[in-house]
Parts: sequence; structure tokens; C-alpha cells
Amino acid sequence: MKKILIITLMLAAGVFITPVVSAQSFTSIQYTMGIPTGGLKNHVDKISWRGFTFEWQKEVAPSVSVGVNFAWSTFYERKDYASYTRDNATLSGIQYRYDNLFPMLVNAHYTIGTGTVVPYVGLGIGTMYDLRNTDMGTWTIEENNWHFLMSPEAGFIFDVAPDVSLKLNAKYDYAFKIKEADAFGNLNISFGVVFNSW
Amino acid sequence: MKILKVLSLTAIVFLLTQCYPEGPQYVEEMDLVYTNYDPSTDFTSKHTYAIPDKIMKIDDDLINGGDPNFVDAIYAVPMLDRINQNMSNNGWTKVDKDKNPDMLLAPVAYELTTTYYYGGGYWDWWYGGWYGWYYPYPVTTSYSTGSLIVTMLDPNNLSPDDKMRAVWGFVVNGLLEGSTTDFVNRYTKGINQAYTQSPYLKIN
Repeated sequence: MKKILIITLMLAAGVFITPVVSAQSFTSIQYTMGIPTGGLKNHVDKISWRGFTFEWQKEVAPSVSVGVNFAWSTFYERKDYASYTRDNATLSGIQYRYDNLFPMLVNAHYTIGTGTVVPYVGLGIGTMYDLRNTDMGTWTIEENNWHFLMSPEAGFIFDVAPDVSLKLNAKYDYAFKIKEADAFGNLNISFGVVFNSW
Repeated sequence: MKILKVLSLTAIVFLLTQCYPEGPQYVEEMDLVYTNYDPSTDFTSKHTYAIPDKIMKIDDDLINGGDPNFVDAIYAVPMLDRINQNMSNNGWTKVDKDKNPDMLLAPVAYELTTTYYYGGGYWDWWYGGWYGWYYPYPVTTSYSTGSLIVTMLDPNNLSPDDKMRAVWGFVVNGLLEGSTTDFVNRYTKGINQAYTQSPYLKIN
């Protein structure tokens, strides 16, 4: 089911892109930080300073581009020595919590106006792979889940050279609730370079 | 331009892998204390307990039906002292096992060595006809954890096949590393924590 979803999304991207062969394309590589919300915040409360985003987009109409977006963010928190009780059992120790998020999106952007600094808004849909570890002692509790993902975003593109721009944006990844895991969010703030080609 | 793209991506991925969170840095950060109890037991109606003066090892000799081995006194004595101190602080009186104690404490130690065979012949799925690798220099490919497991048994509450009911227990688990003093400090601290997180044992 998850594989089918990913393949469908890839095909959808291809269908959109194929008819326009001569348009401009944009490849962005960005450093990304993440602010956890919802179920993710319950697991790791700290901001992620470790992440990157890769995006490829093709212009399909004036001001409109579509493409794919992949990212990786690592959240980490060390919980001080504490006791965790469930029913009659209590376990005490230091916990090391990790969350590796891999959002994969098909998305569309709409740029507003022209100039050296161009604002844009966007929306993506796709899937989020969440690899969650809670380490205690020499053990780890590992959960991995696939969520349906929706990601609105907004940002600015700064032209710095004919083929190169800088991009600053905020993207909110909302991973929907599934049977095995709660919904959660990750507010990504990214900054990086966009390479334009024809 | 293509080279610039590849370089940018490589640089970001390299930086991310270099700053991946490391986790525990010190041996004591991996120490754990686990307790569990039988909620149907009224501990306040009990007053006395008995405990052996040695800690039995759960090892291959024992599992294969041989005579038990015991933890070296240099480790066992301070750990047993700490258990007795905590029992006393909670209002319990230690008696001989022949004096009809209300409870028995059964302390055992279990050592588990986990060995990694990274270089073993498991890589055929990726590179056929390749039988692992060897190290021309010494490497650490294993770690040992030690568990002190103490179970409180009710000798007056027997099952139909004459087994005593276990009513409380704790496990102190950690890596078997460091000097004797460090090891004893870590494990006695763990014993204190086992009693701290078991307030139902307090009968005074």
C-alpha cells in the first residue's frame, strides 16, 4: 500500500512535467532546521538543527512550477535520569530519543510577481517515513511508520546571479494520524541555493 | 554548474553525518533499574526476611546442571550490605532462614556478552563469493552487561506444585566496565534506586 502510494505520487509528478519540455527547471539544496509539534514533540521536545532538503521543480505555466521534494531531519533529545512506570513496573535510567524524518512530496509552487526578491507559496502531498528510537541502557525501542503527508509552504527567492538564486522558506509537514501512531507536525525553516537551468 | 550542485549536496550530507547525535558518553549513563511487584501482596503485614550471604551466578555451569558459581566477595559483599541497609531502612528485620521468615530474598547475577561479527560471512547478499573480512589489528567487537536480579519470595504462599510466589523483584543492569570501586558504586546506587521506586515496601 505504501509503495503503491509512493509510485502513484511519482507518476503524478511525471504526468504533470512531461508535456512541458522547454521550460525552466530549478534544483534546490537547502539546510533545514525543524520545530516539532504534536506527537513528535511528545517524543522529542527539542528543535532539530540537523536536516537538509532537496527539491527539483519544472515550470509548467507562468509563475507555476511542479516537482518533487525530499528531506531528512534528525531530532534528538537526552532525557535526564528518570523513572517510567507502567502498571506495576518501573524502569529508571537515562533515555536518548531520536527521530529521523524523511518527508517525500510531490509539490507545486506559485510565485507572486517578479523582481530580485520573489515571494512564493506552495503545497505538497506525499508520504512521511518516521524512524523513531528510544534508547535506554543497551536497548532500543524502535518504531517506524509511514504517514500520509500534506505540506503547505511559503518563502522568498532571491536572485543573485543569472543561474543561481537563494531561497528562504518555511514548510509545515503535517503527518496524518495512522492506526499505529499519532499525527504530528514539523515546521521546517530552510535556507539554501537554487540552480536554474533551461 | 552540475559540479557545483553535487558539491553542495555532498557538503551538506557530510556535515550532517559529522554532527549526528552521539548518545551516551559514559558507562554509568547506560545503567538501568527495573522493578515490578505483585499488587495483591500486603507488604505491611510482613516484617521479617532472610537472604543468603552470597550471590549466585547464572552461568553455563548452572544451566548445564553443574554446581553453582558465586560472585566474587569483593563485589557481592557491598551489594548485599546495601540491600540489607535498604530493607532495614524500610522497617524489615533480617532473620535466619530457619526462623520462619515472612519473605525470602533471592539474589542472582547474570552476565551477558554480546559479540558483533561485522566481519563474518553474512555479506553474500551484496557481494557474492565474498566471505567477510579479517582485521590485521586488535578490535573490540563485543560488550558485556551484568544484571543483579533480586527476587522477593513469599514462602507461605505456595502454588499447587509447591512453588513460592514472587511478590517483588528488581534488576540493576549496566555495562561491566571500569574499576572495582566504580562498579560497586554504580551497582549500589542502582540498589538504592530500586528501593526508592518501590515505596510499597516501606512498612515502618
